[in-house]
Amino acid sequence: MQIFDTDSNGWQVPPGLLSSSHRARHGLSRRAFVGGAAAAAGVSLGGGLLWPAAGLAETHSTPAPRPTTATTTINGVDFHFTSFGPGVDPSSITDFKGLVGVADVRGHGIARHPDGRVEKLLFDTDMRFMKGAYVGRDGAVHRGTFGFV
Amino acid sequence: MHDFDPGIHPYPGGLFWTVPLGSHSQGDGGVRVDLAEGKARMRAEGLHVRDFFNIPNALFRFQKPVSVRATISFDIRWLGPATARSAVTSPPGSSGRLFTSPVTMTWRARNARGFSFKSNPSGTTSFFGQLGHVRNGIFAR
Repeated sequence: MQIFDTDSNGWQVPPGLLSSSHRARHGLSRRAFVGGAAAAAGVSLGGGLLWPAAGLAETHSTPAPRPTTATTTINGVDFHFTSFGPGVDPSSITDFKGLVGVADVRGHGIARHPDGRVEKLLFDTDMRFMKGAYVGRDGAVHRGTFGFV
Repeated sequence: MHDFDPGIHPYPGGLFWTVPLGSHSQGDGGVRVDLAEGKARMRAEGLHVRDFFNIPNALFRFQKPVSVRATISFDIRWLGPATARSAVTSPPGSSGRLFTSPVTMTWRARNARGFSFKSNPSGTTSFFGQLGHVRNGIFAR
């Protein structure tokens, strides 16, 4: 889920991360960014990016599934992510059989900032679910429901 | 800007923006589906995610802090009818059947810094809604 400031040109994007032509063509919806940046091989996302030493580890009681084997490469990094569309399996997990759903919804709402400011902002979502049987990292078959958020 | 997602675990080659729903919602995992009618509903309340502030930072983690704690709640409805039925043809190894269905949603979010957002139910546009069933990996046929 992403929230944007609005301006006269539509979706606003952070400066310096993408080429102006990319911004003008795609804005920065989640789907446009991930798909568009991958398609436009060689588009610079800026130099001097700082990488954290470790990911944000979290634990869940549900046995973890395995990520999809499909990858999307952005700026030389492979992410286990697929876009969606007619005929495209939208699952973000592999070794899965079950029901799936995709919701690409856009709209607006009211934001309240820590300093008390209130403003109308646009949003863009790429929400999905996967509900069914899957093989977890433990090698066993489980039933579960997962959200791509 | 704000970008709410569960992160990538492990980073960067792990599970991408995916979180279990069962422990955060009702016994049905927060998802009910009626494929015959082309309808579904996906709900969650107080789901723990992170606010990465923007998508480039969510992918490449160059801001400090990278993210802050956040919660989101949402109610998504696929309204039917089912149209544009298609067979799954990609990625290789996946199979199944999909169809499109108009979708609407309401949602709200709050991060640990005190920022909050609540969507306007009347202002949403369904760009793409899809439902179906798929098989992949060892279940592919």
